[in-house]
Amino acid sequence: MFYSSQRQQRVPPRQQTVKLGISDTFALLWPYFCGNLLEQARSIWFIITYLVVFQVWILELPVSYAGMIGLGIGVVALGLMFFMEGLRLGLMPLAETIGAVLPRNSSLPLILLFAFLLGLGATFAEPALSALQQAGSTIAPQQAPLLYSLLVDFPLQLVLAVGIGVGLAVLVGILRFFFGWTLKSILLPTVSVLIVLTLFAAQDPLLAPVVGLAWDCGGITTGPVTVPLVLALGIGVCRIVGDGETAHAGFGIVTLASLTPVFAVLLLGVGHYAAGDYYGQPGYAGNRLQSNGRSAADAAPPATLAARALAEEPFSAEEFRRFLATGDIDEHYRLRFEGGERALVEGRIVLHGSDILLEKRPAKHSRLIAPQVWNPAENAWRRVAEAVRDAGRAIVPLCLFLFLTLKLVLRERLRNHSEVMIGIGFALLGMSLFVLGITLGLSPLGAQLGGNIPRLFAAIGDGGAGVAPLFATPVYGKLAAIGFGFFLGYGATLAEPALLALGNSVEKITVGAFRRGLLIQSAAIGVGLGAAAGVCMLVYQLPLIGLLVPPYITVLLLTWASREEFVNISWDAAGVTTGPVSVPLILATGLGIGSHVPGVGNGFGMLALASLGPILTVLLVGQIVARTSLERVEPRPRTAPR
Amino acid sequence: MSYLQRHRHISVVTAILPQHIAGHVIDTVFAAGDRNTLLVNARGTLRRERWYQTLLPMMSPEKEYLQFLVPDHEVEHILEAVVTAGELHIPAAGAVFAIPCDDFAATADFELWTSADWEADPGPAQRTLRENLTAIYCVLRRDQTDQVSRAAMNAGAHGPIVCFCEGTGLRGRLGWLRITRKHDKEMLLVVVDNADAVAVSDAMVAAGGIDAPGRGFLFRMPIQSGLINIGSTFGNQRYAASIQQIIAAIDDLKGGPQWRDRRVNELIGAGKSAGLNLFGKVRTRAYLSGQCNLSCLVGRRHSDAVVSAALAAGAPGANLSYGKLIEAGSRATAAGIRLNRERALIRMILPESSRVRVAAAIEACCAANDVHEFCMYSQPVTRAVTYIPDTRLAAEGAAALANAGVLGG
Repeated sequence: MFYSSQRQQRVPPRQQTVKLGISDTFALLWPYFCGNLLEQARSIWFIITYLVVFQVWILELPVSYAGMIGLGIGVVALGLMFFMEGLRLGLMPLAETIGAVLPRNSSLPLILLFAFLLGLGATFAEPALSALQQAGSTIAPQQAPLLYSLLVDFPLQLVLAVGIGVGLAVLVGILRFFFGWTLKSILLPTVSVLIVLTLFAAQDPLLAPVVGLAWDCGGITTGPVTVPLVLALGIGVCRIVGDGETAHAGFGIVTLASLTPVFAVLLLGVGHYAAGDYYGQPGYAGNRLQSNGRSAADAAPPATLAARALAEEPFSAEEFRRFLATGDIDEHYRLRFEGGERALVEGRIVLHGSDILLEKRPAKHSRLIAPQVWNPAENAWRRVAEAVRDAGRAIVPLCLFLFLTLKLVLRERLRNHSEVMIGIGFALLGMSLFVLGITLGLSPLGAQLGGNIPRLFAAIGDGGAGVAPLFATPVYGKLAAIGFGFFLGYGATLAEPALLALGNSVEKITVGAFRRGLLIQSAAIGVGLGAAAGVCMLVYQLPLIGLLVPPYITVLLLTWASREEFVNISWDAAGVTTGPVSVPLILATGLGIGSHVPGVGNGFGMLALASLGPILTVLLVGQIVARTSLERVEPRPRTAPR
Repeated sequence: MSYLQRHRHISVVTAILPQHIAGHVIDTVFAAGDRNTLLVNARGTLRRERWYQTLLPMMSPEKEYLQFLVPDHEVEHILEAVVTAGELHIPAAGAVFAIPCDDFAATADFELWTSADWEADPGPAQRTLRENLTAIYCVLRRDQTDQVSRAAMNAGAHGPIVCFCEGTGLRGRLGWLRITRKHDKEMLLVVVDNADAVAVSDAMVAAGGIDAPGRGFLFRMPIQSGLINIGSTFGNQRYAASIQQIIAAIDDLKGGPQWRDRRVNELIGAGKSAGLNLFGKVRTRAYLSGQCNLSCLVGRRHSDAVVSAALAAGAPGANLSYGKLIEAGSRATAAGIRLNRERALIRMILPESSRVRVAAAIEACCAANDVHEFCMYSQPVTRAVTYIPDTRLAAEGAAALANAGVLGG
């Protein structure tokens, strides 16, 4: 009986908080810290080991700036740990609460306004977009005047166009949910139109460079802050809506948000093309770019730096003295003849009056680590300041917006307020460390390696005479480069925080029925295939359109044949895979190869291919899973459900 | 005048359905009147049939866990409606079962089930319902779920139904150090024949080490009547009928699953009946008796207050799962998708002796926080297992446990 006579006199109002001593606090925090760090280390060890092993064993080059890179990688792991915890504790619960309250307690126009503002704000917050603008300064205005003008003269218009695109995408995502449209019915026409538009724009020499920019903008806008927020909103919505089959309402927005900016940027390009106010036209009113030091440092990867250092290592004065005294010389040297006259005398080549040169040739496997451990051009403190600024810009405005919405519009109390605050602090710290670690560690390592990849199949160095290719036949060298591309894409994707967040969300919404590992692995293999196709395109000089259009048509057919839930998840996976880890690595490889293969200007097509791959693989895996399991296990109701 | 109103003769009807059938079943049940139900997302567990496939992870189809609070006299009709609409007589289609409440109390604005005028006879499904069933609930860490599921299935149970839940324990009370707490508990549900209940729960306890400190807990509840047709294997398509369908057919011929009793073949534990005792003394597990399951249905924003009031009043622990309260008259989007409200389902296993005290504390908390649309009910628990700090305390029962605060940790 609940209400018998023995009712308690005293009911304690709140549960006691337990206070712990310093050693107990440490005992609690230490496993927490270690466990989380280990989890992140598991997601980045593959790419790190792979890069180092490839550089040292296959390319046989020492790692330059090892101290800086090692520190950077440690900082990446630490940053990822704090950032993922920040997502779990702070950002995601915040957005989840809004998602769970907003649809029921607000009118549709208000929800749509919120959605649009969220998309717009997220775009301004994304640090990658500003990096894209700085890349604009490296473009030669004579070669691609329209692209140059878009990036340098109209950067605000560009960001606004992308922002409006993302805003509209979130808005359509909400409408889609309210009116029960399937993602399929939106995707099929949108992507078809986009393909036709791309084909059309690729015919025009002025618009063609803009196509690459447009597709890249689509990939870049869906970054590590936007994606978890949008996904968490979706999880929140899923907590309250529907009764069974609508469980996948949370997905699809990321997909739309990576397609609409392509439209927006293409339209912006066409607009300026029609208005004729770009570089070199009479209507051009722009000024020269205001260069800041960073763009120059970022733009030029130390492509052949390690190779050059290898070729130019001189004999020291000490070694020369020893040579004079004993006649002994280090066995690693090369004999060369310079100057003089060459003549054919009785079937023999005779050299008259040549200088005989002894040049030092470093031993193979001489060392793993180059003597220079820190790049003198890097100013660590300036990098720290930049990282903190980028992270703050990505996280603070969005969190403020969400908080204000929660407090002023919804008037909802936040559960575990202090936890959310700690979480947002963690996210801020984690994002700063992550960005810092990437600029100090992962990017330089990828750039060194990317710059040296052509060594596999082509002679590089000054004038093509410095170092011979590693493989005797270029075919094997090119195959090795393609293999390198695959594992680079695969490993980088495993470390992508947005994909980890997507995996967690999928597992959460389906109560573990869709396992995270399967999704992440198939997406990573997809990116690997895409990157391999990209390398293939560069080394064999295939046209991008030829590699992009047939797979997209395949993807459209697969989309049409797949179940709605797989369509949602696999397109979203494609949107999130091109993030802060994979983009610099893939770009560096592309640029490195591009600069050594005649006739290839840049490596930008690789990104488009790398984000196409995961759609294909996840859809295929979805097909296999659907074929082998669900349909057979569960009986369908004979009476058709609504 | 107390804050909560008491009601008599209420039962909890639980249905476990595949995701794509749930909507249809809900509509069918709602068609008879002003209704509501709590829906919690869950997943099933399917094992692959071939031996070499056992190395692969088990498959987990998505399921829905539906809970109706129904007056006793309507239970049969609801069971009938769910069985018919969900076609639960097909093997591996799903399950539905009813457990009566000892007590039921709710705020005045809590919408209770309105009676409908059903046809006099509940219909043919009644013949297939069974009465000698036991529900086994088990709460444990997420990384142990697979292991415990396998153990349960090896002991003869169907593939467990799993849903997420949050535990409350020491870590919730640590101030800012709460960040070290991870909500990664899962709740397993298995429904078995009374005859199998001991073997299955013993196997689960052994596999999950549930009687070791800090692992979780397990409890059994008697079922009044129900129909269980949950799948456990996913397999061979080369034959006209799956092994599951064959077993179901033999069950039907034999009039029940008693023929599947495997006690004779078990070498450990209950294998004594075959005269085999290979491992010396059989370990008997210390089951707690005299417990009850006190559940609350409350809005998410008040769930923390209710839980801490209950813990302060001596409840050993609580676990929360979140679901949607689906109402017939709720707002819907243009596409007909219902916009529901979110509810927390709080489950507490506590000794009968402290139930009154805890219930009173919860009521006081509700009155103080002005909690609306709240209900609270208790159901009998036949046996429970968790870590018991000292064997001497086991004899004294859960009163000591309550003070130790280990349940649900």
